Amino acid sequence: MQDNNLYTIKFMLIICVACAVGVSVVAMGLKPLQMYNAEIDNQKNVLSVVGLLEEGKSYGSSQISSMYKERIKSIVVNGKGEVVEDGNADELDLLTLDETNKGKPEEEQRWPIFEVEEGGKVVTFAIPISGRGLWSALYGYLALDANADTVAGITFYKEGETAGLGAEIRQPWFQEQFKGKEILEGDKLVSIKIFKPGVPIPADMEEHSVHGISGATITSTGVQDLLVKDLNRYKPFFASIWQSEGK
Amino acid sequence: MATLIDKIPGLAQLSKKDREIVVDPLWDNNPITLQVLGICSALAVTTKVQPALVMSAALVFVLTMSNVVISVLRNYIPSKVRMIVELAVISSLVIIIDEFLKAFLFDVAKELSVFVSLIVTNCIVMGRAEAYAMANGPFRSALDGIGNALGYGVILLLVASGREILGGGTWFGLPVVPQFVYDAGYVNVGLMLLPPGAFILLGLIIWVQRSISGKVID
Repeated sequence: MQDNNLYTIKFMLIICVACAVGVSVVAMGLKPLQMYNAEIDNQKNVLSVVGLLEEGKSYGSSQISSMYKERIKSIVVNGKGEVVEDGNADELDLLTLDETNKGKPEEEQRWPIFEVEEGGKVVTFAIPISGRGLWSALYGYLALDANADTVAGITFYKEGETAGLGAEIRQPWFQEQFKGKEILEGDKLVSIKIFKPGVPIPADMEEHSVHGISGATITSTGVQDLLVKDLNRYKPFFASIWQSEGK
Repeated sequence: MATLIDKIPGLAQLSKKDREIVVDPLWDNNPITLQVLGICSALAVTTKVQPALVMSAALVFVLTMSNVVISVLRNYIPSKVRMIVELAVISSLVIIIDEFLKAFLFDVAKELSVFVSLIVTNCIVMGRAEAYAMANGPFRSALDGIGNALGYGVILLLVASGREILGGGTWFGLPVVPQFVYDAGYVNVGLMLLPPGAFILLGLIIWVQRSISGKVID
């Protein structure tokens, strides 16, 4: 074995190039598959929040994709709540929605909405939600019924909270509580309030409140805050529906 | 233990020495319980059996391949940059396996998240490269890699089984705690899903394994 510097440098160069080539070839070769997986995952999240997936049943990726195509119609609205005609919701990156729209005038903002239609009428709306938890950013969807008032479901697909505590926001017991709750009190947007576990919810708050996770107060508050933030974001769009519902 | 393993097909064809290389780290010289290496991931990815299994499989790949590559190169690697070379090889292999998981086992890859990449810092991989592959031929290094990775995997699966059964009442996603036990007032031990649960279980496993094998190197 040679131990002079030139040999060492040459050797390292060869190793580095070889490793880099190997890694790049694999990464580039698998990229299409990974993108497809991410897309299917995203579609699965939307389908699950609007309640089209059966609990505990597993779905193949082709099933998910055809179901999504068949049932979900996505639209894009601007900051004023007006539908953007040439908008493509699938092109918006949900993880950076807040950043990309930040500081833009209302007309130029782009917010996606996913709709389920039945007999030509929208029966469920799903909006992306995101915000801060304790350790990490939380990403999910909130689904509302046709009246844009009753919660049809909530789901979180990306979080890095404490397993067993904050990460419980992914659990059915936490998410089930939201179903049937109402985000409006009269014509006022009150969103959903999260009470500490064990604290009795006052009767007049019953339909706007759920219980949080014990040991995960900051995550729970994070969920409460992000709901307020994102519901207000979509308020201009939903306002017309609320009006037509007589609220 | 040894006689049982002799009956496994494939292993019987190996010479006695080669067989020992594979079998030794499974029990007598287990990387986790005896050498207490690779603890970080053993604690982190063991809330459920499935991710633990995938993690073990990933380690089998990385450890075997890195041992072979390092062993092939061992006579050419300049000694002063020895560890950097090992690290470059190991991290490339880890990125490759991570990319494969994201492409073919997306859901599990999501669950394992950063811990696949953290195989780079798994002391078992670097340790075997340094201690074994630098001094032995590719074939034996491969056996050593497989043996150590399996030894790691066995413990991982044990801890994961314990945590999933006690903490979630399931094994591999299947319910194992019968309903009447819950009816009688049994509640899943949530503690087992938290890091302390992993520490307690792993500690118990190390204790039991060491007292049975009787080989303690403190």
